[in-house]
Amino acid sequence: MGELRVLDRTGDTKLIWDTDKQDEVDAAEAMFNKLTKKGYLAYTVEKGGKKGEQVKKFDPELEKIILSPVVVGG
Amino acid sequence: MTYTYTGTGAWNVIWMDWNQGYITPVQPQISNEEYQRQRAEYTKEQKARLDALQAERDKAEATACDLLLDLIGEEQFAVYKETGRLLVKGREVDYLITREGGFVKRIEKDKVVDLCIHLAEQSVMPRTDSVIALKLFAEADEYAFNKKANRHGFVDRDRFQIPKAAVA
Repeated sequence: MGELRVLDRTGDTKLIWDTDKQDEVDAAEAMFNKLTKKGYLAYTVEKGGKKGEQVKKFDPELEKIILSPVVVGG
Repeated sequence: MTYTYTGTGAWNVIWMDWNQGYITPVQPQISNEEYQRQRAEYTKEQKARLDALQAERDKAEATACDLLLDLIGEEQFAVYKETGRLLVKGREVDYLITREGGFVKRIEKDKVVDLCIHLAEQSVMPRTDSVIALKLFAEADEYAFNKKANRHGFVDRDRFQIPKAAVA
């Protein structure tokens, strides 16, 4: 079971996939690829406050992925 | 439709036709009571619209806070709620990320450097989402984080009041 959280104006949009269901994995991967092409940054995080790490490629085995919109210097 | 027309003669009539699109139609006169009623109705509509927008923003902020709580745990989240600041431990130095619009303090050994970095669309995003994005960025790729952030000078550590999260 994996979870994709996309930060947006509603707080975040959640997409959950089951690794046994290929259509769910494909939908999550499609969203991941679409948004990272737009410049979104993807991080994998684990529960319990561990530090996140950046991910470049979708991996359905990851527990949670957070997609953040573009960050700029102010 | 009625138009204001004060001229006489064919010349004025020609110009009247020529400029028809630019002439302001005469507004029908309304009573003061009617005007007050329309104004009150308009104000009520505007307030309802703004209240709905505010409710949406509050809901989005609550959702963002849930995610942050999930990431950092109750203890750190309580400090964040109270101070509006989140202490993030990078691989090299620590950062204080504020809820208010992209102000970040990089805490070095003997100085505090002000950085400015934020989401490109921060005006439409919940503030806590911005904090989450900066926290993840600083932890995952500290070099890129510092390269992207603009630096705004530094202040002495003594003059800067470090919140509880940084002292603990």
